[in-house]
Amino acid sequence: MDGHEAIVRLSGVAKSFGDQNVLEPLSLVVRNGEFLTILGPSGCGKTTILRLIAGFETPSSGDVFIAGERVNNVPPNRRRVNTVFQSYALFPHMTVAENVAFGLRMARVPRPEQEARVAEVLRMAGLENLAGRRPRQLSGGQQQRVAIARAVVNRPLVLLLDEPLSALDVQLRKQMRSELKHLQRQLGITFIFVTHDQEEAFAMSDRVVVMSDGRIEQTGAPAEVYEEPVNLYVARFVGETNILDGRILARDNGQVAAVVEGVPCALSSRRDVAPGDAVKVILRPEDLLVERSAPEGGKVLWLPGTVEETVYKGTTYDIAVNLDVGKRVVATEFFDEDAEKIAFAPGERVFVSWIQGWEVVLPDGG
Amino acid sequence: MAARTSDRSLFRTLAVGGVMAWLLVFVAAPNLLVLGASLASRGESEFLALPVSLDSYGKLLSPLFAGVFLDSFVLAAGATLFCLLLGYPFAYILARLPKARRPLLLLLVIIPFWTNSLIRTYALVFILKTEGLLNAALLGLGLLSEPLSLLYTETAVFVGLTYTLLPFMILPLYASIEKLDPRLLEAARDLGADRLRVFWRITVPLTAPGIAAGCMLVFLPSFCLFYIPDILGGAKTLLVGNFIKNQFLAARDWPLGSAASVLLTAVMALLAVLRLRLSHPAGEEARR
Repeated sequence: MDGHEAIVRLSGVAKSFGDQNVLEPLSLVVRNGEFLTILGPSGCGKTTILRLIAGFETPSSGDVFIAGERVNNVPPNRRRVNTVFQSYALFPHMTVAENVAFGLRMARVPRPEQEARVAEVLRMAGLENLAGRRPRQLSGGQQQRVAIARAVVNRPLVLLLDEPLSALDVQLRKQMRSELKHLQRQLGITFIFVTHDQEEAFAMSDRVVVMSDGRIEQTGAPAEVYEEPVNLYVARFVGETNILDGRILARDNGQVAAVVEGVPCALSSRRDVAPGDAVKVILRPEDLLVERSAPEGGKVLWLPGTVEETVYKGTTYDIAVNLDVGKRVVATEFFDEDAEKIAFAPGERVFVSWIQGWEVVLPDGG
Repeated sequence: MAARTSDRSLFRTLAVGGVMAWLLVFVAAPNLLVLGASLASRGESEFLALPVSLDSYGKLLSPLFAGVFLDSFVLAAGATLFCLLLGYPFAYILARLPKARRPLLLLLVIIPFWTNSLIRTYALVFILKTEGLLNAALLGLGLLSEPLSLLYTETAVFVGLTYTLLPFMILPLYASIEKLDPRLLEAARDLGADRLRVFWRITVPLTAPGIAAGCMLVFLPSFCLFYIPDILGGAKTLLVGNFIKNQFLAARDWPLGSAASVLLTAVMALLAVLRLRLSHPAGEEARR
């Protein structure tokens, strides 16, 4: 199997409960061996996608394929996918080892092989010493490991993870991120991970699917989604944004002449924008430049404003500026040698611009 | 502050003390009296006489009583099993209904308690008797050509016990099934278990405390509900309860009646201990 083969394919899949549409018809291809994250706020339908793949829901229309086979009517116990549940859903009346062995017992794997595979997975998860414990005698992090071990011991084609880190504390969550990524590489199993945490999604995934209101907004590598959001929703959802209003004057290949916040300037845009269009200019905090005086000349726009506050964050430094046009923007600067440059004081008059070419131009209302 | 603390401890003393006093006067004392009576001899003019003897317990070993006990046991076990088979699916469906619709159905389970069970047992007579409602319905529908004679049979007693005790099975089952996390069932399905194996490996073990509680609440009273065999079974079927009643009211052998009663209490205590073991297996594990 090569890395680009589709392991899971949703084709025009829609789901409604009663008269409520949870998923609009959508299509999605998950490649074999990739770490795919479905990212979206709660209620956007991301968990429903997972449940459709696991077999807990059947699509209202459309088809679900796993390894090329249509599985719409295949019950969960006959699908070669396993789930790590948000609540872990460990069986309280069984020990850790019994929990992990459950899938193998159900598959009637011979006893000696069962024991060997359970022992191997427990060792991999660092749970050897806890094999005889009951779930309630474990910490949250340990329960999490058992839940993952219980799923991967079955060597599924796809591992589905439903916000598995959300119940852990920040430290442990960060640690588990890299462990999960590691595990996925080691096992070579396709992971489909569901989360509402953008940082989590970016840290682990090969590809990210951004969802809202039962629709897929954008699919792409984390950097692509961050740097080239297809619409305002995605831009706002993944990371912090500063949004300026503008209007297109003329277009010449990739270069666009425009008026942004009342000031003429040049923009670069790969998108199809026509003269007269109202646009939004999306700028990440790290794209912004803040200077005490605006350099003369050039097609670069400098917007005057007043520093509202500065926030020290260790390696970076946030500067919130109230622009004279009435908008508030936040710029992030990294410390470097000429540190005095960024030591702005609240109330100081400044000019704000951005690194040319890093802006994202989106049609207004998009 | 100090006053409030002493108020609280006074309340605690009264609350706990009150319950203790109640248990002493109405539970411990009668049981001790029965135990005492079981060790007395049968008197000529008095119900109880000296000397102290184990004669009554000896009589419990007689084939007559052993037969009664065995019959009772079979009937009670049968009624318990039947209640479990009827009650489990009902409780399961009830516990899985939307929350808003459960109270009405629970109310339907509880409504029979509003009427005295003796009266309800007489009502059963009208349903089960040869010219009763059941036979009339079955004959009317053409399902039978001759009426069944159900009343004054062991079947009627069985029906009566099941009917009377079913709610005692359903309520504890409902309580434990409601607590069962449906995500555990999904997890089991996800791990390859079909519905039947999910039921046996997850649902049953996790609702075992409810099953045990329900079975106890049905099994033990089944021994003692003497008025059900009296009314529905004629004189033919005897429960231990009937035997005890007869010793006190008819045969006037109080020591024997008391000894049978002590035996029942002992059986009950044994089952209670078993149940505790069943519902806390994990606790045992932890202590080891």
